Amino acid sequence: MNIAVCIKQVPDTASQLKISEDNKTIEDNGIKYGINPFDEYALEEALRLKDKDNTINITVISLGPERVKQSLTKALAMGADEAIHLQTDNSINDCMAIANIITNEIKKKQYDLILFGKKSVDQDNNQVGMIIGEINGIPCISNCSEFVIEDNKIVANREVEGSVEVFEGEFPVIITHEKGKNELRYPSLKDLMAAKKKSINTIDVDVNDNNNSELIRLEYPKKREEGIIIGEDKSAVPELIRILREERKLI
Amino acid sequence: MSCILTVIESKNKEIKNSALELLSEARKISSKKNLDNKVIIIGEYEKNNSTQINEFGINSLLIGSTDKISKYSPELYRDSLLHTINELKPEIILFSGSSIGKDLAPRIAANIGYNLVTECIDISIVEDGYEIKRPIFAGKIIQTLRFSKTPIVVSLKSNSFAIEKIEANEISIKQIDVNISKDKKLPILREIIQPQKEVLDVSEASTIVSGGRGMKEPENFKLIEELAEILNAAVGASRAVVDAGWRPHSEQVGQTGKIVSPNLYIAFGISGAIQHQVGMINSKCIVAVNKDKNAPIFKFADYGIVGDLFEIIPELITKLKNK
Ligand SMILES: Cc1cc2nc3c(=O)[nH]c(=O)nc-3n(C[C@H](O)[C@H](O)[C@H](O)COP(=O)(O)OP(=O)(O)OC[C@H]3O[C@@H](n4cnc5c(N)ncnc54)[C@H](O)[C@@H]3O)c2cc1C
Repeated sequence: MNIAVCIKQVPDTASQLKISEDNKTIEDNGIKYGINPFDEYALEEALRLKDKDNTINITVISLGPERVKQSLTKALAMGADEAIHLQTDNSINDCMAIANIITNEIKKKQYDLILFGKKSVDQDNNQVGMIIGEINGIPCISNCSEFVIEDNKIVANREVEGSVEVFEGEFPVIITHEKGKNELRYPSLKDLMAAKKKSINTIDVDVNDNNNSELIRLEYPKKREEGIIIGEDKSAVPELIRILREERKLI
Repeated sequence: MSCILTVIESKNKEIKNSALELLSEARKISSKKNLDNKVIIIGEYEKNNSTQINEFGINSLLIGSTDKISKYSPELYRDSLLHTINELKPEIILFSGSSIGKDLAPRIAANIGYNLVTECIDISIVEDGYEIKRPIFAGKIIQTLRFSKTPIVVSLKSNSFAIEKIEANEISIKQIDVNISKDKKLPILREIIQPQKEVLDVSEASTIVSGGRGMKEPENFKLIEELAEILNAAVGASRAVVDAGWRPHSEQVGQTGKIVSPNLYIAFGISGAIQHQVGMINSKCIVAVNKDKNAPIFKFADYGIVGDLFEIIPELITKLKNK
């Protein structure tokens, strides 16, 4: 079985972001990058399948500039077999363009399972997995918190409001992954050193950004004002209730 | 006349509450841009419930409802919608930011070659098209995009638009055909796992009562559940307690959980780490109870009590019960 895991490199979720003077970009210096958390959960699920069945081959694919190689190396250290770097220095935010580039790559090999994170935590688009499914005619089950393989079928739990939908499908299939139930593995220093020696297949890609949107500006959200401390113990409770009930009419 | 098409969802044969935000926004856009205001509902729905739907200036309501699609199927919903879209050629299509909207909107966009913008919090009409605001980096930054070429597909972030009703009007209602594809290779919905008791989801609730590591033990969440029940609230959780296995991931609020914006968010024993903060900072009102006066959550909570939650929750329960 061949599994592809598409990973995106994003700023660490703890990053303080600064908008550049042009009001259209984010200052790059000082930002720590890592694998998008949801993609890392997807990768972990693939690795767990491989832990049980060593014939499984896992390819990690990432689109982005040179620095993306660090994330691919980490994925190799975690246990992926092959890494493909779709290299471009342009920042592409058009999901359709991204989907087309990735489509070109995944067509080169017979993948049974193609995994994505449900969304990337930088642009928060939540689109690419489904679009790739549509343009390639591959069924996509989105927002899954776990999945198993049973009788050569995939059984995946899709998280929805207030319940879980269990879908069963045939291969090939695309899954977009939520935060999973399994803890992520951390590669040892030894694994990292070994991974650095593995080769990453680098492919320069042409970006055809057809997006008909124009970025006008980036801005910070309105800052929330620091509120008030009502009290230091349970004697503050009646006042809290009064505020919520009478002043704010929230309860 | 060009049209706006709004895709709304139903639950228990009624339109979902989240649809009212969509309908309010659709009415504004249709009146400003002089578009025919069309709405489509797919899934279980009974027409005679349409009274609540006629206060949004809708011109026509299309209903695609058969037993076969009472449950969500990406492909069946997609095909039914595509059929209508190809016929109507709307200049803008609105989806909700629900689990269905998130799954369906990209599929529609991919098939018709429109651009999709997800999680929008503001749509304004400008001379040559639409200007749309959406949060990126989990809301640390807001971007404004201009679309000068239509058509576009837009999904709205839940709880971000005001519900505005107008005088009721007559709506023309049309039943549409639902295409049931026979392709056997499609994934099938094997079962739906429901919690033992029906629970309010954090993404849909107007009040959330959340607990973090300060709850000390999973059993203590009984306190949170009791308070939530009194307030008709959903139970939320920090990642720390989800990772510890005390609470299900569906309750997690934050960067790798759900991004919520209820009217009232009450946090007990949650420190307010950045990844939690981005998930709830857009709540209309935030209350925090934490025994550490330096906890980061007090920096952005509207009201705080510095104290022991094991004293404060029982007191809240007693006082709220006594009215
Ligand atoms: C990639 C990534 C993604 C993440 N995503 C999320 C996410 O989606 N959601 C999320 O929540 N976190 C997320 N986190 C984790 C986040 O960084 C914090 O670790 C987490 O939010 C802490 O949870 P907590 O506030 O419950 O626990 P703690 O930080 O341990 O805080 C517990 C608080 O309880 C208070 N307390 C203790 N006892 C009492 C008492 N008796 N009465 C009153 N107060 C008391 C303490 O003073 C303390 O402030 C993420 C982290 C990473 C790296």
